[in-house]
Amino acid sequence: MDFFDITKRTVSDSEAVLNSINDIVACKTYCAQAEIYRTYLIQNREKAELFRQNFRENNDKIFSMSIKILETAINVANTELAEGALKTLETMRKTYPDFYKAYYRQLLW
Amino acid sequence: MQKEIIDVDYVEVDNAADGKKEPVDITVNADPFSALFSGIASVVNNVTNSVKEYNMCRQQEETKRAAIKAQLKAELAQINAQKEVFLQVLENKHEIDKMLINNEHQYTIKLLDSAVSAVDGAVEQAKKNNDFTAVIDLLKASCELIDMRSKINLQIMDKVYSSKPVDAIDCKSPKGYLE
Repeated sequence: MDFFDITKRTVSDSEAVLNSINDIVACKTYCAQAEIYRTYLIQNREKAELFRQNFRENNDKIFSMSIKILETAINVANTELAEGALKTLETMRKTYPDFYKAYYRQLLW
Repeated sequence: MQKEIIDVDYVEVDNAADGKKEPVDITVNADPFSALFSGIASVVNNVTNSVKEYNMCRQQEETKRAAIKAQLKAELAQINAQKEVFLQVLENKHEIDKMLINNEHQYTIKLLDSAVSAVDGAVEQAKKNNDFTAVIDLLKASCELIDMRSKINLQIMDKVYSSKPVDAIDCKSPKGYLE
């Protein structure tokens, strides 16, 4: 038997090396994809938090204004003024469901 | 003297039947020392040929491995470069979106502050006159402002999140990866 053939069969595993190289490349690609997607999710969460902070800040201003007017309405016993203040609070409250739907939808991406 | 003739039955062996027609030279050394030396020489010859063949095979395989390693390095560098590009695109979009959100918020805060100051002023005036009609009208206008700003805010949220996520790098599934 030719010694060259024996040696070749014993030493030659280039095909196996090539297959493992392909696996390494595929795994690296998956890791890169995961990192990109993770960054995307973190940025989404940051933006959602920013929206929520702004929403609460706006509503705090509206709420304190309405409560002050309500107190004034109670002091002067003016029902129309009190109804106006309560309607403002109601309008502010009605914005909550749509906002939080949009907010949680973005967190789930 | 008459020669004795012996009749023997014999069979001729035809080597051509199995296809081998190699003539074989058989050298018989009558001298034992020559036989010993020629045996040693043939052993040394065989060993030398084997070592030569092994070295040839080893060098071929080393060259192939070097080529494979270089290919791997190039592909990994390409993947890293593509990843950095995608991350930079995401970062740029994120900065633009944050700027948009902050600008919208600043504008809303200014409107709300103006509305609150107007209402406060109207309330102070109404306390003197005991006529709160202007305050009630301002509150109605505030309700419309709140509605309008809320719709604009939702539109901006949709716009910021409606853009398609970055198309990730295409890749094949590695062996054994569970889908």
